[in-house]
Amino acid sequence: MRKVAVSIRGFVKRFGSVVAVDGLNLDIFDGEIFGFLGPNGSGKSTTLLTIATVYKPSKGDVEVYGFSVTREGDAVRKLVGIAFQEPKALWVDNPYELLVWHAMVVGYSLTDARKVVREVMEELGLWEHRNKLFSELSGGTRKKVEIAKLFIQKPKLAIFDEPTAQLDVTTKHFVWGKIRDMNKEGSTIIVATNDMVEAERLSDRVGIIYRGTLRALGSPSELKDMIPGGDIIEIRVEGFINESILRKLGDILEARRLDLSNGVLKVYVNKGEERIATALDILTRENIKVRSVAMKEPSLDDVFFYFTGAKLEEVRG
Amino acid sequence: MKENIRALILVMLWDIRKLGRYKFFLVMRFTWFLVQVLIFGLLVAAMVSIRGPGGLLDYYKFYVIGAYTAVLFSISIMKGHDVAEELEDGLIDYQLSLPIERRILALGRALGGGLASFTYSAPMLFVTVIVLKVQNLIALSALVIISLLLAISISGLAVSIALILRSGDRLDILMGVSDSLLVRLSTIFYPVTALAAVAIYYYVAKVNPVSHAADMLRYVAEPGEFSGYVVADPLIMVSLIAGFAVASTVAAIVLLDRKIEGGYGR
Repeated sequence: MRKVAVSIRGFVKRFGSVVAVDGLNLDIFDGEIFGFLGPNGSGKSTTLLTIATVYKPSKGDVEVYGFSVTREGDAVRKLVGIAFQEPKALWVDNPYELLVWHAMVVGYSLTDARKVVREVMEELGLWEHRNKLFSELSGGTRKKVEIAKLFIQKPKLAIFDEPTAQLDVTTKHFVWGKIRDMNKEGSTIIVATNDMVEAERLSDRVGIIYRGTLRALGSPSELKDMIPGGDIIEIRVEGFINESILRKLGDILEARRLDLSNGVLKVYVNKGEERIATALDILTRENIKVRSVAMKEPSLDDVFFYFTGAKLEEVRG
Repeated sequence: MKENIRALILVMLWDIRKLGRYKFFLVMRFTWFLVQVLIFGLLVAAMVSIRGPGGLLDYYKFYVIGAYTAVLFSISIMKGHDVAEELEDGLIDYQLSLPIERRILALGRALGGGLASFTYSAPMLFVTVIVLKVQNLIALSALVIISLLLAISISGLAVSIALILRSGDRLDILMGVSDSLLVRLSTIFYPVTALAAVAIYYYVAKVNPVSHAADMLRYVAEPGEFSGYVVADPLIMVSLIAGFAVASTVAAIVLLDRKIEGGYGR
């Protein structure tokens, strides 16, 4: 049985009359990278801030490695680190001093703090900005400073709230690599994102949250497989395929739909990778010449649409 | 214990490390203080004549300490604005997420705020000491301690109010009211003997901790000159100042520990 890092039971968070999270139940396992997928305002940041003890639940409880965020906040804070969606610094702060202070607060000696801060700042291309005022930094650079806090801290449970928003593609990939490294070194990771690619690239499991409730939970491939006929096997053929062959293909492959147009047969199935060989075998037996085969999986965007009825692009703030 | 002391020092550093960033603010305050002391104070002293139990009061010296107390008060109350700004920028959320016990965080912010405020006001204290020609080392130390206690009290109070209000605008209004009540209705600029003519004013000034701080500073600086003009017995004044510092710090601790959660504007 897998060890639970975060246990969320009946969690409700209200801000006045607004219900931000409504009865969330969720386990996040030790050692995994968990992707929290949802648009702005869906309740994911509220949940993460509660895990980090910044908010208190209105109802229910959240435990981190067995410690309640309500009753044992001090113990929880020793295990958790969070990189906020909006970088946290005053305009008069300079990145180097802020990060050294952060490093010392999380346990480094002054000498070690200076060393690790320099290493991380150099890795993230921040060193040249070390003495600038925070107000002089670009949005992307500020975001890097925020992420750097967790790369320095390496907590047991690291929470990244939209870690690569505002970052360029190269830095984005670098940050993903660093997050994976942290995970390999023993940190459990939670990544909140509204970026499908990020969720898919990083996460062992993804939770889709929308309007304060959890709509789906599973690995990216499990979630895709939950969409009926989500995989599309695309077969380019020569010659005519009659109705009976199509029916046979549909029955054997348990296809949700078949389309034939301009010599391209599209078969909508689940777990398409397991059905390609069967499809080819049927066509060969029926003397249909196959010119090419390709398979297209649904994107997490499709998954999000399936479970919420909304396109992530449409609801993204 | 050792871990908590380390955390406390680091939290205090949060406020202190920003000292060098507010040079303009410091220069403005110092200039204002010099104008008060070197021009306005002399003019007012020339116009005012107060006779008390100890004879004719040297109102200029009285005024200089009053001006110093007022500037220390207004610098300390700026801590409330700092905290309001930090709430707006989410810095309080960040601090609430750090591996620091909440009571240590609150204590550190109150003490750090007080220490930073005192440090800001140190050049003004220096001018005050020069003007009053205070040379006694014990008196100098006592001036520093009382100033520090007042700075911690007002910072703790300002931090608590900022945490309750969670709004820069509301804070501005309330701080204006606090300034009126605590500075104007005190013995900062008016000796308690002169206030006796207005009953309400007199009784408010008698219980106002700012009066006790200002008069204690006067008593320490020149006991011979001011002993007949203080608001209460020195022991009572010291107890009240220390009590005020403890009460406002405890209020900040309780608020941060039990009541406050992040999310400005929610």
